[in-house]
Amino acid sequence: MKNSLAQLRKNRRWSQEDLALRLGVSRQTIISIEKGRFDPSLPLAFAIARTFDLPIEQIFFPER
Amino acid sequence: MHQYDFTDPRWGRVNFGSHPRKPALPIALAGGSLVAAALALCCSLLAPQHPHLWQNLVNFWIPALPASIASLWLGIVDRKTLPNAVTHPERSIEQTWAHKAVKTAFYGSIIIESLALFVCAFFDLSAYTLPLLILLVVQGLLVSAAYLYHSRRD
Repeated sequence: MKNSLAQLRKNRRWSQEDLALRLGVSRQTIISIEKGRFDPSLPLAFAIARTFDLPIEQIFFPER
Repeated sequence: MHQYDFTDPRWGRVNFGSHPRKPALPIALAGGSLVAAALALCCSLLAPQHPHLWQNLVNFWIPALPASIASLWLGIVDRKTLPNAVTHPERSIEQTWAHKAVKTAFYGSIIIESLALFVCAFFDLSAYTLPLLILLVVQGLLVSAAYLYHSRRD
């Protein structure tokens, strides 16, 4: 799936490490999600949505 | 979000007792040594390899030390006090990599064992053919059992 995670993170001036700490995952996980190589689990997707205070559909969207 | 306390020791603190909790490594070293000594005593009495008891104790104690210390440390350490430990490792990509690695290694071992079985059967190496065949059958049965278990559980 595609996502706008990198842009959302940069808007808040967070590093990948900062976001990883907030979500309780490894920095490599954030890198792989942003590159579209790793789809997060549902709990992690919800945690990301909560962190940015956005619905999941505005962060993750299917590739066309 | 877990905030790491930079006064925590490098190997973490124990997950029991009153605050401030004690560093985990010294307890693991002492306790693991005792566990290894107990194991060494059992092995020395049941399967001595040298004429003197102290030789057997040393012979069994030294190899048992790393595993005993590591196992005890794993059991007593509070993960939240470890530097750079993630709060949700089950959500991290490394977990996915580990699962994929195990799956790939399993498929690889099946292929290698099947090729080895073919070669042994072709060259009539009967001493290896039967064990390889049994191993493949057992692995197949394990996969079937695991599949049934998960299909009923989930």
